[in-house]
Amino acid sequence: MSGKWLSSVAFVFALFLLLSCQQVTQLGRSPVKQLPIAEIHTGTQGVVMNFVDGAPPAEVFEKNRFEIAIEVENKGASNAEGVYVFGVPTDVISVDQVVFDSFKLEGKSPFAPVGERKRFVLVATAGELLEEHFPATITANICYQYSTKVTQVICIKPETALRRETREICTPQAKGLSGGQGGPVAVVSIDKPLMSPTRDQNAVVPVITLRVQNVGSGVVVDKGRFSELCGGRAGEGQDLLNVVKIDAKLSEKPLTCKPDVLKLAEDSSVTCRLSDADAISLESGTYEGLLEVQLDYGYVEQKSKNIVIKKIL
Amino acid sequence: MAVGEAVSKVASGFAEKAREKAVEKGTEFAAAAAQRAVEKGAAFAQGKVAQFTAPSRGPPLPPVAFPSNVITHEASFSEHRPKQGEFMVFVLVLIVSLLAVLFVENPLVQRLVIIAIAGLLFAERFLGEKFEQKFNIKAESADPLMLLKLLAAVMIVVFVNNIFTGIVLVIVFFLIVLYGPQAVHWMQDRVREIKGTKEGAKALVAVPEEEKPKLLRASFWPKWFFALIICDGLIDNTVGRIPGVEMIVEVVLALIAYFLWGKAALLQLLELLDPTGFLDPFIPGVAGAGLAARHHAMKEWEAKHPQPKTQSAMIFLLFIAVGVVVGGLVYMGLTGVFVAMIAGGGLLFAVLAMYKPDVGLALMRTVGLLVGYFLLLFFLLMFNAPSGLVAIIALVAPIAMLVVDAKAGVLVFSFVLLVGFYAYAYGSPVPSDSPLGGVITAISGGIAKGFSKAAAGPQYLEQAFKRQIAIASGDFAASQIDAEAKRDLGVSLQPLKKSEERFFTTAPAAFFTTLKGTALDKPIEIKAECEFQTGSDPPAPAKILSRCANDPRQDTFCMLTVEGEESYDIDCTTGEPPAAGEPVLVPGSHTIRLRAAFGFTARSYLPMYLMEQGKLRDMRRRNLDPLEGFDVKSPVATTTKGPVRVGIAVGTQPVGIELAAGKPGPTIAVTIDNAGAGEVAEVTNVLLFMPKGLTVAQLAGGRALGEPAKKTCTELRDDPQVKEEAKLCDDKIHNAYLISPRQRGTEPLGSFVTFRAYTQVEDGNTLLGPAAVTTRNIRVSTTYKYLLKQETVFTVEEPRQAFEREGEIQQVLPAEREP
Repeated sequence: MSGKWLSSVAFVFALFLLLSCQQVTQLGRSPVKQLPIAEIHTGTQGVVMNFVDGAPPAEVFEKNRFEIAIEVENKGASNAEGVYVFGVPTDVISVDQVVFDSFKLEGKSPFAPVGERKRFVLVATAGELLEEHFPATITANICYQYSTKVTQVICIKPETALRRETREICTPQAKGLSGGQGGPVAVVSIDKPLMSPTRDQNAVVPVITLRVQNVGSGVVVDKGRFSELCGGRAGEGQDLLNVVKIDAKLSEKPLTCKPDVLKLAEDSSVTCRLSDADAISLESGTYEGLLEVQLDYGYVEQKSKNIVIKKIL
Repeated sequence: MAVGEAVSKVASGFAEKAREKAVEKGTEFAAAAAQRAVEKGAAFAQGKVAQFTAPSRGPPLPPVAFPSNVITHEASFSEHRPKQGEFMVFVLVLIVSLLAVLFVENPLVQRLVIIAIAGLLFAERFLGEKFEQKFNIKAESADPLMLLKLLAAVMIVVFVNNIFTGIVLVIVFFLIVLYGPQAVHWMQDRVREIKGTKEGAKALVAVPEEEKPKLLRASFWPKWFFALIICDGLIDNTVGRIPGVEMIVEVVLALIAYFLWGKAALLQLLELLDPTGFLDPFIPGVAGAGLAARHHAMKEWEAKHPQPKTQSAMIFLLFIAVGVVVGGLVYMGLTGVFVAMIAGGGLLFAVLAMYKPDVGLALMRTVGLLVGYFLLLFFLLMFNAPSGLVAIIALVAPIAMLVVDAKAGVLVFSFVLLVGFYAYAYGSPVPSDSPLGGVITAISGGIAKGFSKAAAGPQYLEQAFKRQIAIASGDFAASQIDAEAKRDLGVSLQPLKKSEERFFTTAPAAFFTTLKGTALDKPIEIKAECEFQTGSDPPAPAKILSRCANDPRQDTFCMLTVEGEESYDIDCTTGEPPAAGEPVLVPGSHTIRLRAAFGFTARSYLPMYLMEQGKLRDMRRRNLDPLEGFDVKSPVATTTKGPVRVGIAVGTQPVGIELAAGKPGPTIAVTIDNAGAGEVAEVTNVLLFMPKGLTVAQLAGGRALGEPAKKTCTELRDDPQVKEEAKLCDDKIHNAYLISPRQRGTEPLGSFVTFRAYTQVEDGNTLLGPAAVTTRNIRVSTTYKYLLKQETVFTVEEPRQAFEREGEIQQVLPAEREP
């Protein structure tokens, strides 16, 4: 009897534990629901920032305190680390705390299908007016470092003009990648892999050309210097914009990319190739290789909100 | 055959009449008219080359052979000379009107006289031959233009209530009406010559009117078209706002249009959908119907008679379009124009397309222009923008003359004047809180202001021209009025009104007006004074009476204080009541003038987006938008309401800032612009608040303004002249500069003045702050003295002469009967 009772208690306890596990949530996250990696690495957004509704309010009376708040959410697949800065016209709005600070936000993962979300609040006071009303523009910037990881299966067909490969497991072709890869900078296309001969006549190295674009709404900056646009000073002639660092691997073998630090333009491309030491033998035949590309960069977003300060008549 | 003979007879009659005229005048001018008449008659009867035979009386004219499709320029010119009958009726009505002015003082009787004259003119149609024979006029009864011209003349004379002004106005009006069309046709011919389309134009004109379908006759369609659309437009904006009245009027207009143009006129009934009439200007039904009918007739006509076309009409239509859009931009803003055009044009197009799909597209262009015109009229009346109304009259009337018909232009001009005078003269009996009263008040206010603007026309045009040049050359910093500010800050002065209808030498002449003022936080102190001038004598002080803070009997001026919103009644009197038997005023013309001077402050601010120069250059080099995410990328300075606007400009935003101290900063242009009705007597001082970290190195331009003096906020608060403006000054936030005039009270501002402040970076880090793009405000407070003037001219009569004329001397001056 007691054994039965004990086993019932144990069953209920186990059930309780299981249910508890399902309800585990983290602050600012939806219930855990595992996603496939491919779904995580989609989208063209990184950290998204918006002013919180009503903060600041559209109208505020002179000498009154009000809140300015932004909500930042990591909608991409990479963790983000950066700073946020509020910009207020100090002659009509005063603030009694620092207007910038750092933040960290975890990105989406198989166990966290929604990225981390945080709010930052600044308490401000509207100044006294001589005019009947005064419009003011409040700005908010976020500057953060981010990365985009691209994983694609591509067809490698080692052959030369003299020696054609006839075993057709797959057909090499160009690939267009739409929809992004979980970050505001993305690889938008991969050209058909070319085979470059080596000194060894029986081996070739694949050459892969990638096209990279800023698909988000912000500005790409050098990863190591992202904070210079938020609080820091760049100074004259400092070329920190549109800089993306590129690392690539093909089937776990590192690729050498030129340039390895890409300056983004309208049609920016980078060419990556295996080193001669990792050359592929012509004997190995056609195969599907896994191309992994990591783009590292800094990213800056800014938003503004117009408010009206009204005189108390 | 019988018809052919009759036509031939009529044609011969034409020829004979013209020939006689040519002989009488004995000039080439009239001979040309005769040639044209012969040509018309011959072409009409035979459709081929005609022979002209010498007249039986007077010197013989040589036979002339000419093709039937060519007429002379002189003939076209002479066609528009005033007709004898027209002239006679005009003079007759003028005499009756003047008599009414002289002997009818009761406004009710005046109105009855007007109605009687109007009735007589309308009855002309039914009196027929009798009337025509008596006054020797042609059958003009169906010509709405004729009636309107005459009515307008009567109205002017009767309503002016001042015989001298009335006569001058009537003569001017008379000249415009009678000789305006001639001048316009002369201009049209010059334009055609310039365009090299003279031959084509001649060929068009050469087709006898009688041969054209009714809708294409110059004597028919344009007159009715303009008469109806203007009636419709004005009614929609006046009495059309009264439910019930509007419905009756719309139905009547629809019926008239139906009989003129057919089923398309039923479009007009769409206006019944809105009984308040507010949306009616968006549905110019009669206009659409008229255009549709004419377009249809024109297409049929052109299919049968291919004609060369002159381009001038299209060019003038283009001018109308540009004028309407520019006017709309000034008064309604880009969005207003866009929305109005799209909404009105779209609705009309949809309706037309449903009714007549084939004409919908072709009408779009012309109807769009008309829609724009109506919408503009509608909005101008709604928001009481008088100068815009006057501008429309000035724009549309001459263009209508040139494009459509000389008389049509006069019609527009006459009708608008007529309504304007009606509103001006009889606005007061209508309760001001009624819908009609509101509209009439708006129109009359507009007309009054319009006239005062017109009087200052040349000066205004010169100032506007200078301003336009300055804008084009970048020497004018723009500003926008603080649209959200509820209070209309400043002071306004209503026109001076007579306290009596007539003035005599025996009593002082008294005038009154109302001064209205609105202050925000600082009271406005106003010094008002009256002066009186006889002819070219130097002006003398006149007595002023109001709720003065001082004793005006001692000071001859009156100090008034406006706090919040206040209004003051002010009376100006030419002198004390006379001692027995002594005249107070000399007979003749005099001027009474009221001046109100007050100090006021215009505040203006401009948000300036600042960015580190290096970053900004990098972003621009890479075609990146540094203001991505900003709603307003090119802010315009906002200025407080009042007679003076202050514009501020800093060039392209965002402004790049170099961090090192001493580096040049942005150049800030400040324009002080007199946008009010008075004059800026003096700019007392300009206070310039720069953001901390930016200093003013030098000032350029600004005529009478001195060098900027950097002041601490404490110093400014200790200065009684600027302490109010420095109330919010903070040395941690601002660098303040006080700019005073070089010499006080020497030179009035004129239209506008622009000065530029060359700046220097004092501390780049403080200026820029931590954000990528920093917003900093530049603020300018301009304190000035403003002078408003109102004056009126009046006539003083000898009482004896006046009363003798009126037979009232026995009652008024009993003392003189005594021995």
